[in-house]
Amino acid sequence: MIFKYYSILMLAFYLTGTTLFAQGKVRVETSFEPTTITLSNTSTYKIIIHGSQQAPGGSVPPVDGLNFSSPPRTLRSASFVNGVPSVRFELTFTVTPQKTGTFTVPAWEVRVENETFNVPSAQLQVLPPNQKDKLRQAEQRQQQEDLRQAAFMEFSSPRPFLFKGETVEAQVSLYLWDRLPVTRIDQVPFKNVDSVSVTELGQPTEQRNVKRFNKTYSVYSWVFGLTGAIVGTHKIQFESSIRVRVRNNRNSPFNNPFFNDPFFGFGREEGLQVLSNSLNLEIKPLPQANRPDFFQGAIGNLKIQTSPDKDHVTVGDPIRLTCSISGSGNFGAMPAPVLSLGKDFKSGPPAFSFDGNEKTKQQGAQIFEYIVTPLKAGILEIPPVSFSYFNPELEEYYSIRSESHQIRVDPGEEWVQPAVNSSLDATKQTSPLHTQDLFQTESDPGDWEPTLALSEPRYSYWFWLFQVFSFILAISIGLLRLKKSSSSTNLLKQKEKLLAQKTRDSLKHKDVAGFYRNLSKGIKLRVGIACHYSNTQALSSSEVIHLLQSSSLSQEIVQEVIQVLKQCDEQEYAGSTSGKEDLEVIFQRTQSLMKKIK
Amino acid sequence: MKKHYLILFIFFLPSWFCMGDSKEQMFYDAVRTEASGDLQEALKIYSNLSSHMHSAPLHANIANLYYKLSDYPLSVLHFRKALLLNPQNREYKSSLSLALDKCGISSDQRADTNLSFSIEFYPYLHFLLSALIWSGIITFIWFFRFPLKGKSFYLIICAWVTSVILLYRYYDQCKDLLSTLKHEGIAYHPTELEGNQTNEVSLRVFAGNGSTSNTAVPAGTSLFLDLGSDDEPRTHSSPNGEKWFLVRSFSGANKGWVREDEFIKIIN
Repeated sequence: MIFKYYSILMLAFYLTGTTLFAQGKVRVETSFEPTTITLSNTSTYKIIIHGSQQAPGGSVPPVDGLNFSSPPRTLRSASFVNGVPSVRFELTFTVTPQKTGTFTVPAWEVRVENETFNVPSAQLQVLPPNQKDKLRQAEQRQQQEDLRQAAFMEFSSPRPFLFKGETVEAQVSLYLWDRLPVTRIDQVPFKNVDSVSVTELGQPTEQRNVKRFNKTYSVYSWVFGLTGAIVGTHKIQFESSIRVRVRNNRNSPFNNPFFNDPFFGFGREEGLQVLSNSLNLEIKPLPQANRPDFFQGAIGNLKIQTSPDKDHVTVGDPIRLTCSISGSGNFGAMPAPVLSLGKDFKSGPPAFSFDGNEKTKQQGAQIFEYIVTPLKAGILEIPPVSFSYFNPELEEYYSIRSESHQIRVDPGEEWVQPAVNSSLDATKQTSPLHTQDLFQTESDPGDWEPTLALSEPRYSYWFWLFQVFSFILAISIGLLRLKKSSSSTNLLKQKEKLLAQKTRDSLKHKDVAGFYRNLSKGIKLRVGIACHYSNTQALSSSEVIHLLQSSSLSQEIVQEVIQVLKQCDEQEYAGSTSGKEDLEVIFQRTQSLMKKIK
Repeated sequence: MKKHYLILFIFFLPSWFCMGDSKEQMFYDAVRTEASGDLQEALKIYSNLSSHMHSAPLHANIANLYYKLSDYPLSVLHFRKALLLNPQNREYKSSLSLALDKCGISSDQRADTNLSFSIEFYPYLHFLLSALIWSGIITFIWFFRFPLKGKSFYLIICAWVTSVILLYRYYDQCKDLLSTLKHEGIAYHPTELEGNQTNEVSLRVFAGNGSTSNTAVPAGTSLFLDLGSDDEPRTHSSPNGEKWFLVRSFSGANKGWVREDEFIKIIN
């Protein structure tokens, strides 16, 4: 137990000693290790700060021809040297030379514990590569070349340029060296730019024993439709990734596991990125000259054909009109031709289908199926369908049209509304009241309703939200009005009190003119409150009297008020003098009168 | 948790849009199938669609197909549904009359199908009435102060009260009409007719198959559920699990019990 306490005490002493006593004089050293290297090797630039363990501040000055790794490795250490505790902090940069020569890192300053210390200069000599380095570099290059040849892709387009919107059949092939132990193709090739669009790359075709670079390959090819999207010259490249099995070997000098084991033995799986060659493809805009009005973007070499499924129908019976556009072209982006059927027919939107090479959608036939309904009886003609396209090989626009079709349309069954009062008026039975053709099939679905059931508003969330909102709005407005009204009444009362006080003051100081003026103002204010007139102060006495006479106050009060107001006007403007007793009597009488004005 | 809901939403969003397109696609498929002459298949597609969504042209096309297949009572039913959604369509009205005629229903037995508004309008009418009442109350609170006076004030009040009364009367009429529609159904003969059997639906004296017929109405006739004192339809469940409704004709002259499968409601 005693030993344990002793050990803890010693450890505490050591730690305290290394941090407190070792914080002596700070000293900075620098060096390259090794000081001489060849161009293909690296050195380390080490900064040692003795006497402190705090991270320093500052930056290594840049040296032309040397690359310093960032961030540096750091090391804190503490030790006893001859019984004296010592601490230090090390910073280590990996230095990669760019050229041969002698390089000097000049002296620079570093901040430690809020003090600045000088870092001495250090020198590194870089020699040209020796024979061993050259051999190693050549081996590395060969390995990289082998690796590139072990798996690569080739991308080819039939033409060096495309028109915007044009679709051509392109191909990308993945070459895999037979000795490369590929476990699977991780990702089908994908393009690196958005300036072209490609159809979906499905299952590839496989070809074995293809010779290239004196090696035997298995080739996986994808054929797809390539469509130009953005005008300009674009560098197009495809990328893919494969999984290969490699042996675990950590001692590789090049850190390249594929060539450490020539037989690619069993071990872990590694992903390998494969790139194709870059192809410069120009996307040209379509010419504006001679462009037909109804050109909708079809590009290729195309034919049009239409055919109805029936040539003899009844009014309202639907006819299926198939419009087929065939040949080679951009079927993936081909819009449906617009039918101009006139007033004899109505038609709905077409159904689309494609019959041809689904991989590229460049060869085949695009079929548009319209439902056409005749609206009247007779021999009707489905007019020809017009279609325009741009031929990219001849670089010209073409307009083509299909044939017209004759359809015989019968009038159909007719309905005669039965006479309502047949027993009462037999003569009316002879002439039909109203005739109409049989119902015609609707080709447009109209507006959809989720249910036919009646939606009761009282179960609707929105209905109750609206009720609550309206209720709250009404209550809020009511409270606002009430508050406003109450505040204006208070204001008037305060004003009235003030005037009464002023009148008393005038009485006290025998200011007769002021007394009558304030008295008059007080009466007018009281009349204003009683008659719901907001600004009686602005009225003359005669106008106030007129207001009083039109009010519901008794005639006696009105007469009394008129008398007081008259007296006030006379005293205020005529300046006749009165005794203190008279004024007091008038004041008391006016007060009792004002109480009566409600 | 919120993240999970977001993932679910993102997952199901495309399927929502797909559904939106699929109903149109199904409709066009059915039109094309009908055009190719396969009426049964077209009817199957339309019926499948109508179990999820409704539109006037959809029900009209179904009615037309039933008409072509000589199933006139179901044609009547679907023309009625189409007219609920588009009451002003003259073509549907005339076709319904034709189907009723084929069912052998005389004009005095026919229910009134002239709706002055679409059923979709009813909730909006409710909201409109509510908005009118509240707007009057709020205006009154905002603009008028006590004591009430002035000719214009009384004129505005009168105008408001009159418009509320008129709108309420219209709303009440619509409500009555919709309440009637809610309990209306079409008489239907669920089994295949044999020999000289007439296409009539029996209105029985008692709720049972063995009961004698009180009267019979042609299939396709509009029947109305008889309501009890609690405003609920009068029904009966027999020991073998069959459900029966007490119904009456439009004129009220014919009344009796029908099985659940002999009465197809217009509004579910």
